[in-house]
Amino acid sequence: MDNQTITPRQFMFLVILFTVGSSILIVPGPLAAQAKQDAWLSIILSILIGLLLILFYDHMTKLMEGKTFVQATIMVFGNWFGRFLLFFYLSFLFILAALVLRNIGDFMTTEIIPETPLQFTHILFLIVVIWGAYLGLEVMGRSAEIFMPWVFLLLIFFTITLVPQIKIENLQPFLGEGVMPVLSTSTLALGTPLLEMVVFLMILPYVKDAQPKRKAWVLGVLIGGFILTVITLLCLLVLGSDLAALNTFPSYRLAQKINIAGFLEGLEVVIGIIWMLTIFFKMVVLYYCVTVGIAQFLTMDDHRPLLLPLGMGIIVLSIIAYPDVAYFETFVATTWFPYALTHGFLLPALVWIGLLIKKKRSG
Amino acid sequence: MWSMLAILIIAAVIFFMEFPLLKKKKKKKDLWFFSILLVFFTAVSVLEASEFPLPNPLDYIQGFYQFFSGS
Repeated sequence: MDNQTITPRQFMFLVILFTVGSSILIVPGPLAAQAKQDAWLSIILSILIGLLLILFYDHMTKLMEGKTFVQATIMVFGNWFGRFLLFFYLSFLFILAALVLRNIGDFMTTEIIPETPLQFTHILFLIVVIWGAYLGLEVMGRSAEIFMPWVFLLLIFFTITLVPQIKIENLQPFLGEGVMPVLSTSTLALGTPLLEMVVFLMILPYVKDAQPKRKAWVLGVLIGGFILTVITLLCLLVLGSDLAALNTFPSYRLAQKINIAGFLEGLEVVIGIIWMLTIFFKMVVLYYCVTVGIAQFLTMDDHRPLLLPLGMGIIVLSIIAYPDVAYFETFVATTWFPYALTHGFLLPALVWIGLLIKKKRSG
Repeated sequence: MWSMLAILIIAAVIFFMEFPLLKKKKKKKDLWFFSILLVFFTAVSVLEASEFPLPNPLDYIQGFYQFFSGS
C-alpha cells in the first residue's frame, strides 16, 4: 500500500511459513485416514502439482506489471465486472483467514488451554495479527527472517528426538491399497496449502528484483512441502496410520511422544511454538492481503483503518464457521478442494486470459 | 448482556481511535467506508453475542458445491 518492499529471501521465508502453517495441524490426520500408509506419497504428489500452479502464478505476476491482483482485475474487466469477480476472491481470503484462526483456536482449546473460551483465544491471537498487519509488509518480512531459524531448529530437534521411535513396518505394505487413494487424497493437500497461495498475488508486486522472484517462490514451496512431508512421514512411522487418523492433531500427539533417555518428557508445548509461529505468519499474510485488497477494492488510500472493524467480523465468522468437529471434517474433506480450486485456479485463470488479450491488443 | 455492552464499548473505542486520524487527513471517503464496515460488523457481533442464529456462509458454500457434485 505505502510502497513497502520485501526482499526475495524474506518472501521465500513467508512462503515457507505459509505452506507449513495450519496445514501441519490439519493435513496429516485426514490424509492418514484415507491413504493409510501411503499418505506421504500424496503430499509429494500434490507439491509437484503445486509447483506447476506456482509457475502459472509467476507468469501471471509478470503480466500484471507491478499491479496487485485486485488492481489488475479492475484494470482488465472494468469497474463493475472486475469488482464482481473480486468480491468472490476477497470473500475467499476472508473466509480462509477466519478458518485459519479457528484452526489455531481449536488447537489451543483442545490441547493447551482447555478452560479458556474460544472467543478469547481468538481475540488474543488476532490482536497480535492486527498489530503485524498494521506495521506492514516490511515488518512482516523481517520478523519472518528472525523467526525462521527458530522454526528450523525446533523442527530438527523434533525430528531427531523421534528417530529412535520409528518403526519402518508402519509404512508397509507400500501402495497396498493401490494408487487410487493416493491420487484422490492428494487433492486435500493441494487444496490446503497450495491453492491458497493465490493470496501471494497480492504481495508479489511488492517484492524487490524481478529475476529471483520465481526462484524464491519455487524454493519456498519446495522447502515448505518438504517439512510437511517429513511431519506426515513421522506421524505414519511413529504412530502408524490408524492412530494418526484417529487423532484430531496427530502431529501434536507426535510431540507428546518425545522422550529423551526416559527423563526429559512433556516437550510438546515447546514444539507447539512451531505451530503458533507458522500459523501466526499465515494469518498475518492473509489478514494483510484481505485488508489491502478491500482497501484497493474501495479505492481507499490506506488499509489501516479497516484492520480493526474487519477483525470483529473475522472473530464472529471464525466462531460460527464450524458448529462441531464433524462439520469441520466433512467441510475440509469434501467442500474445501472445489472451493479452493474455483478461487485459487479458475478465477486467476480467467483474469490471466483477460491479461493476455489485453497485452495482445495493446502491443 | 455484558458481552454486548463490551462489544459496543470496543466499537466506540475503535471509532474514536481512527476518527481523528482520518478527519485530520481529510479523507471523507475512507471515513465513510470505515464507518459503514464498523457499524455492520458491530451489528453482526452484537447479534452473535445475543445468541441470534446467524447464517453460516460455509453452509451456502457447501450447498453450492453439493449442487454441482450432484449429491
